Amino acid sequence: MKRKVPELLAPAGSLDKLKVAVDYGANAVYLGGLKFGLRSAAENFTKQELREGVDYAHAKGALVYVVLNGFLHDKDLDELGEFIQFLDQIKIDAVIVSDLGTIATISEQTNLEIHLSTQASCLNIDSARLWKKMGVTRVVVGREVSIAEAALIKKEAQIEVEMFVHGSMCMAYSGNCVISNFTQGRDSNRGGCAHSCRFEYSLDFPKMGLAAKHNYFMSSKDLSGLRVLEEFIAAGIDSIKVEGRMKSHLYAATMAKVYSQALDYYEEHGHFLSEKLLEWEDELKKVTHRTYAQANLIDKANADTIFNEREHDTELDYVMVGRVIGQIEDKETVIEVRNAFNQYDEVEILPFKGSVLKQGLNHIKLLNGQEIERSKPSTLVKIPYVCGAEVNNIVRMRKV
Amino acid sequence: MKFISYATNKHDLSLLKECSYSEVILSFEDLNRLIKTSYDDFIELCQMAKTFQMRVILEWDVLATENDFAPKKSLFDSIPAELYDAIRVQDPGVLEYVLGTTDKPIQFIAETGNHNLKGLKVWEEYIGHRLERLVLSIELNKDKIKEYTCALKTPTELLVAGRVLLFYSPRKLLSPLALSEAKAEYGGSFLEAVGSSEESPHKGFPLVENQHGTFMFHIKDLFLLDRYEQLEQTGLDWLRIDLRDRQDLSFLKTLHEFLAKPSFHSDDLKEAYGKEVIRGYFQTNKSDVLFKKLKNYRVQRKDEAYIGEVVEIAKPEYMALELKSHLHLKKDSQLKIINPNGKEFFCKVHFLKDLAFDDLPKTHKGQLVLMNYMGGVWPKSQVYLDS
Ligand code: SF4
Repeated sequence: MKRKVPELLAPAGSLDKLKVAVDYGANAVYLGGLKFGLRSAAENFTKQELREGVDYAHAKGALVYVVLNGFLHDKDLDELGEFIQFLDQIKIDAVIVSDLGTIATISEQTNLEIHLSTQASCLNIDSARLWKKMGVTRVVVGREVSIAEAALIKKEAQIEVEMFVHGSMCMAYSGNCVISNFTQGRDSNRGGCAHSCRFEYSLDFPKMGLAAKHNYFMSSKDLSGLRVLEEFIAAGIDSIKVEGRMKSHLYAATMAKVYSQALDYYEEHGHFLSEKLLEWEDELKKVTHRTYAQANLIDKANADTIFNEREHDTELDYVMVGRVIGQIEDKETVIEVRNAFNQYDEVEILPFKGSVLKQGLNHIKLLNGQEIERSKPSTLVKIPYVCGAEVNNIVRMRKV
Repeated sequence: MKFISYATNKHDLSLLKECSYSEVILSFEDLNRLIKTSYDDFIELCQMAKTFQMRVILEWDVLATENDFAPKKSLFDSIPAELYDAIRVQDPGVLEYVLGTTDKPIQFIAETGNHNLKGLKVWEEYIGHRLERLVLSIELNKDKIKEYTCALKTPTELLVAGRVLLFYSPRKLLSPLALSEAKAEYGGSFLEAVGSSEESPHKGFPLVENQHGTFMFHIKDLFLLDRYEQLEQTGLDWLRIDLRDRQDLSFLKTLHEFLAKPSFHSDDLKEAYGKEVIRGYFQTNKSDVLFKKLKNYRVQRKDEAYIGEVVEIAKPEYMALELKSHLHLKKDSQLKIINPNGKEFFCKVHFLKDLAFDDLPKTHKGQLVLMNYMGGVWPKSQVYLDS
């Protein structure tokens, strides 16, 4: 039986990344303004960028959700009114919120739809019922909730349910870690997390006379739910969300492309029995990531879900070397270079739909036609014509 | 101001009685994050507290996903209602459940994610007459606490001495590191460790793993009792002391003796506490100041005259602009360009060409155009029409 597929919700850390996510197939994006979110170090959106982002996404049929999911203090709430009215005016599709004061402020001053952030750790049916009474129309359930539990929450609380399908994991119950607050003076629940859970620790077990040196015992493997997409669909989950507003353009493109292709495939065929799954998995491995795990999606996350390693790039990682910026009369493709590449390298162009386009670089030229052996970042170069490439396609290459 | 504390055994309870505590927080291992007391012992403690005429506050503070929540509900339902006087909850799901299934007064733990008055007032309104206390966050400073206690109808409580919980994960993070034999010898269900990291300014974080997951605490205890007068001025009704990590509660007796004196030196009280302490955010909370510096101060687009961004500089021939707005660019347009350092440059468009170096009479959004080079401008500079 073919079922409705969930919305694919992708991160948009900047206006450029919003466009990337939408172009590569996301049905919705979430993003932050300059304040009130949890990613202070992200570029985030100015009001003008927000307006442009909403226009861009809506024109392509995608929805825009704005995160206001810090645990806001009184003075933050004082400043919130003007911003949420602006959001209402530019017709964003929902706000993602963590605390009750913020929910009340938004309900009083706007008609915005309110989604409860995962930060509020909504873990069970009763909790969802309570938040629904507070005016929330969708809950982004805690990352500890399994797909089966999420299905129960949806059914019993009669509320839309959104779940993380991919990305980095907070090791704590979201909203229940204040390590940064008390060790570095940075409020992790207002965007200042110092990622202390990724540090290397030495542990002593005094009562047992044991010591364990050099561990990353609090670091979680990354989530990947690609293999259990069918379970998400069967459970009727309304939206599957990719983490990573701070991550690269290549990440934004890869996630939107892979997951949208997979969901499209299901829509067409009604199943995932496909060698495509291996191909998609391969693609997910090409962006920088920690080892993937399914965390709590099916069973409770156990010791195997701890990423007991220092953060590092894997050999499989690809890097974005540029962006297609134009085609010249079916002769050459123009690329805006982000990372240098050499003549005779092979680059890969990620089309918005369909298989990756590979291109050997017999030549690299500057716009004025001068041949060069190595490109430089922040320049425009011409490479041999890539049939099927479109403006804004991401160009990547395996790291050397 | 009154004091409240936990009792995990009969000795603790007797000591609280001796110190004239009118309320005690009791719980058992299945409903409580850190209490090791079994269900049967908990029942006995409740009965004993009743004979001491103490109000029993049952604390249910574990977080649980749906499948784990159901058995906890059954356990809770099995507790004879006459054995406790009020229930203290944190998870909104637990709150919703106890609102619907009991008529006991509720003490709501608003310690996590409740840092504005507006939210607290909504909780007050929602829980209504059943709400007998709000437990406030230790991230609020004394001025905020004072403001809140004045504005709220409900009595309030604050942790004033005890461990600061920094991290609560449902995953078991210590047992994979402890050898299984040692674990078996120790019991295996309640592991304790101390963690240090070169990357953290603090060393020696106490860690606990039990059936609910893993907990990390600050290396120092929160201690505000040496600021007793300031606490009085905040208007708090209840002060909580949490010494569950200690062998005994004898400090409570010492505190009692100190407070009975006409005056005492606050440093002596601090010394009597016997652990290194912090005051947390009681004086001030500036935890959003530091990380504002982390913000990426890229040049942010500001006004309606925005045209686009410089993507390449080919000195001295041209610079390439990506046009990102509906505004048109034409020969002789006056431009203001702001480079990534924020420096402004003004120039006129002398020529406009496409990628094949053909002249462009007019432009459109999304197009890439080449125009005359301007010194000081580099890629990522933002371009505006300067009318
Ligand atoms: S330090 Fe780790 S566990 Fe804590 S908030 Fe940050 S990401 Fe989450």
